[in-house]
Amino acid sequence: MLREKANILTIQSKAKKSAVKHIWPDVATDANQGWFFIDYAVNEVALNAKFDVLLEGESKQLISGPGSFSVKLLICLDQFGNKLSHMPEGYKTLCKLEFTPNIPAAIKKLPSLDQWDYNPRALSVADHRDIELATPDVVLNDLVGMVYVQMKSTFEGARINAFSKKDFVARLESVYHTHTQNGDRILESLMQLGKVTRKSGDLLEFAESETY
Amino acid sequence: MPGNKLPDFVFRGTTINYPGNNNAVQLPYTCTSFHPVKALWFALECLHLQPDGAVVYVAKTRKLSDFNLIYNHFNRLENEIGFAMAPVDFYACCEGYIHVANFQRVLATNGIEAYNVVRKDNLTRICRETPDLNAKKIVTLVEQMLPLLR
Repeated sequence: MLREKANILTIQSKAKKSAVKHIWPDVATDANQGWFFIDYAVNEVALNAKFDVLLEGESKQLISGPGSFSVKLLICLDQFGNKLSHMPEGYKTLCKLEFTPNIPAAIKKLPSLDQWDYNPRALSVADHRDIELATPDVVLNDLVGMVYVQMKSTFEGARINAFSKKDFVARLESVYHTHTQNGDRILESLMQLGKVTRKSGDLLEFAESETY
Repeated sequence: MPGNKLPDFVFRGTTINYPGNNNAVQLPYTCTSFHPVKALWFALECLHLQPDGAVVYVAKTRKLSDFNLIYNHFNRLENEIGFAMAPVDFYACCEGYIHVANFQRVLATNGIEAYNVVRKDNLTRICRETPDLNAKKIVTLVEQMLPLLR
């Protein structure tokens, strides 16, 4: 779930370079860059804005959390080839995006088109700070697996083997801006699913298996 | 546009006297569509901003002949035609505007789907699903719109 004024780019498709050439002469890109047809902007977006989560389809389900990639808006063109100083609200744009470290596989699999067009499986990129896991049922149905993998990786990266419930929920809040109540429910679900187990006393640990 | 011939009419869905954003004013340019229903979708998207001011402007293209067309290679989705003029100058050349509710009634009486909840995030889909209209049908619609123009 996205905050009301969230920065978000909905990528309809990759843009064929032959199409970009119609309005912009320099179509060259590095391996981690590409040209994309971006849907009407719901909010204004600044050039060089960065995004780090990937959402799929009209329901904008989270499919990749923060940490695996980031993407920056490099160039923003309108349909006439005017280079824009920012992405204005309500504009559809042709944009050059730069991914770090690489273009995610899901983005690479988008169709290559020569026009803006409807794509029910369009991918959106957003800033994780604009994501709220505010609907527990959706969280439970769709996001627990991702949260588990992401949080386990985060804790292991910080060499934390055991953690309290408070630590876990606080980390979840800092990454996804969940409400405390939702953080509690996510942790409870992970424990019910056997993904987080009690280590000793109030300390918890991640289970070894990653079946998601 | 059909056969690369400029159609008789163009339409712009917006709010009354909306000057356009900075780019449209400074460059300048005005985006229009030769498909009146698609223009309606854009007006409906503005309805939450001005419930009484969301309208579709109607212009005869022969009255715009003093202004250059802006070539748009990507006009398929919106049937868009750009003119090198600021939106306020475009409005001055129009026959007038029709409020979205009145236009919806005109379309409905002609058996054309006119009622949609339009947002920026579904505008592409709705434009994509909007059937083409032939020139004769558009002229018929304009004739029925004229008495309702302001």
